[in-house]
Amino acid sequence: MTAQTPNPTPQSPRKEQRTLTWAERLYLPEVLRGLRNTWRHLFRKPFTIDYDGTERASPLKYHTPRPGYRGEHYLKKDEDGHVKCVACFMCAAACPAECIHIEAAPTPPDWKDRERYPVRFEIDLLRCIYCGYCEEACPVDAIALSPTYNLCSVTREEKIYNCEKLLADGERYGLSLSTHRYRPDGVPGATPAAQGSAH
Amino acid sequence: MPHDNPDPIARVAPTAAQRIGETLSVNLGPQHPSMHGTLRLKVEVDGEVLVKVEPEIGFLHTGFEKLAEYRNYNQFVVISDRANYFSPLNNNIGFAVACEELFGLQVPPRGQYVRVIMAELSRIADHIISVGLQGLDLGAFSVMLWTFIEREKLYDIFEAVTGARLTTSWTRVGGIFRDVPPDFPEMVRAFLAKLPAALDEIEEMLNRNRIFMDRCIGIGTLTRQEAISYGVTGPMLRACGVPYDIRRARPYLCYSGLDFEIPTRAEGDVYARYLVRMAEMRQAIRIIVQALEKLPGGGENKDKLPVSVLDHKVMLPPKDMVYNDMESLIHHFKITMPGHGLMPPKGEVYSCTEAPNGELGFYIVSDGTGLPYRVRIRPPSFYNYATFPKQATGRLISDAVSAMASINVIAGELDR
Ligand code: SF4
Ligand code: SF4
Repeated sequence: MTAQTPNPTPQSPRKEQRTLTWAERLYLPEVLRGLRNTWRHLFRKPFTIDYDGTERASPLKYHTPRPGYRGEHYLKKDEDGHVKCVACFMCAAACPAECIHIEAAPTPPDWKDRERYPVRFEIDLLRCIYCGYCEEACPVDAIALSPTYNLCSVTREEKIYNCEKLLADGERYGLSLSTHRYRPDGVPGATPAAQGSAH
Repeated sequence: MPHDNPDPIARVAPTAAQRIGETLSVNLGPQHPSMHGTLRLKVEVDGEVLVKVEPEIGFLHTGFEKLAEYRNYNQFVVISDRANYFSPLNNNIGFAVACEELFGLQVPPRGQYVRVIMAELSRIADHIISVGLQGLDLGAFSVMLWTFIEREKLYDIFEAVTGARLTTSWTRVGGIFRDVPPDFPEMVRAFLAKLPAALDEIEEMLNRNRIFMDRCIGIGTLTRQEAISYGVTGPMLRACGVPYDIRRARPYLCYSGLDFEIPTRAEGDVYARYLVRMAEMRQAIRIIVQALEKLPGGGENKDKLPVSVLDHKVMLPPKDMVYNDMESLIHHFKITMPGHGLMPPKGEVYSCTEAPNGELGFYIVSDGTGLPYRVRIRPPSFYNYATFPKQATGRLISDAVSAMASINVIAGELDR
C-alpha cells in the first residue's frame, strides 16, 4: 500500500470561479481569445487521413493497422495445397456470434495426414463481430484474421465467405503458408520454462 | 437587461396573463441530435418551460443479459464491449474482475498493471468525448472535433494492444488474451505528453466561456442527498460533493498501490460535472504514469512475466504448446468446447468497478455449469439517468439538453 492522498474536502463554490469578471462580460475579448485558438488549429497539420482516396499510396495518409489487428478472415493451406482445416468445429463452438458453418466429410484417399476436412466452410461476416475467438480456438492454425479492415460490400451475399473465397484471400494476402496470427505466441500465459508446476 | 435576471426561468416563462391554461406535449427523440443514443423524452411544455418530463427507454434494447445465459464466461466478454460504446475496455475489465472473483483467481501483477493503465486510458477516452459532446450540445463545435483527435490517438493505442479500435474484447477470465506490444509504454507516454496541452485548450475554450457558463451553471442541480438517494455514482455524484470512488472505496486490481485524488465539487450542477470530468482526466494521467513506472517487466517483458493466470485449465495455452503437446491440446479443447472447460463453483458474486460514468457492477449467479445462470449488469447510466426528470422539470428545454449532455447517458448500457 502506498500512502494515498486523502480525499480532499469538496471545494467550496468559490465566488470568482462561477461568475464572470468585468472583462469577460465585455464578451469581445473572450471571442477573440477563442478565435485565436481556432485559428491556431487552422494552421496545424491536418490530423485526418485519406481513408480510401487518391493518397492511399502514401503510408502517412492511409491507416495501416498494427500487426495483430482483427480484420477479415482467411484460411491457410498446408504444403500440399490442401485446406489446413481438419473440420474439428472448435472455431464454430468458440464463436460468440455463431456465424461459422462447417460440414465435415472424410478426406479423399490421397490426403494422407488426416481423416476429415470441411466440404463446406462458411463464415457469415455480416454476423461476425471480429472478436478473433475462432483463431484462438483453432488447434491446427488453419483460420486467421487478416489486417483487412475495409469491410464494405454492395450485396449481402458477398459477405458470406465460403471456403474457396477464404483460401483465395489467404493467397491474396500472401499469408496462406504463414504462421501469421493476431495473437503472438508464448506471451499471454506462460512459457514452458516459466510455468513450473502449473501442470 | 433581462439577461441579468439571476433566474433564467423568470426570463422566459409566460406570465400569468400570457398563459392560456394548456400545455403542449412534445417528443424529444428517439431520433434527435441532442439525445445521446436512441432515447425518447415525453415532455409537456408550458411556453418554453418543461412541466413534465418522462424519459422512455427501451429503444436500444439489446438483450445483453439474456444473451449472457447462452454464452460461456469468455464469450460474454465480447458482449460487455457493446454495452458501453464509449469505454468498452472498462466494461471488459469490469466483467473480468467479476468473473475472477467468482472463479477465485488472482491475476499476476503485470496483468493487473496493464489492465489499470488501459482502464485509465479508456476513462480518458470516455471523459474527453463526453466533454466534447457537452460542448457540441451547447454549440461549441470545434471543441468536439478537438476531443475526437485525442480519442483517435487513444484508439490507435487500443488497436495496437487489443487488435480493434472499439470492439476491444480484450480480457479473458483470468487475464488478457495477449501481452501488450513492446513499445506500449512509449506509445502511452507519447500520448500523455501531449494530452495536458489538449486539456488546457479545452479548458481555455469552455471554462470561462460566457455561453457555456450561462448554460451550465445552476443547471441540473442535484443535492447531495438526492444524488445518494437516487444511487447516482461516478462524476455526477462527485460533482455533488461526495468523494465516493470505487477505486478507493473497494479497491480492485492494483489501485490500492497507486496514489490519486478524487476530485469533487460541491455544487452538483452541470458545470461542476464538467469540472470533475476534466480533473479526473488529469488524475488518470497521474495514475497511468505511476502504473507505467511500476509495470513489472516494462514494455519489453524480457523475463516473460505472465499477464494471465498460469493455469491452463483457465487460460488457453500458448499455440506452440497446443500444436506440439498433447496435454495442452486437451486443455485447449476443454476450455473451448461447451460443457468441458471453465466451470465456476456454484454461487453468486457481485463485483463492481469504477467505470467512467460510475459504478459498473456485474452480479453473476452461477449454477456450476459452464454458462452463467444469470448475469445482471448494474449500468451507471441507468441510475444517473433516473435523476433526469428531477433535473429538467421546471427548467427550459435548452436546460434539459445541457443536463442530458452532462449525464453522458449510454443508451447501450441503459437498455441491456
Ligand atoms: S471473429 Fe469472432 S465472430 Fe467472427 S467468426 Fe471468428 S469467432 Fe466468430
Ligand atoms: S478452422 Fe480450425 S477450429 Fe475451425 S474447424 Fe477448421 S481446424 Fe477446427
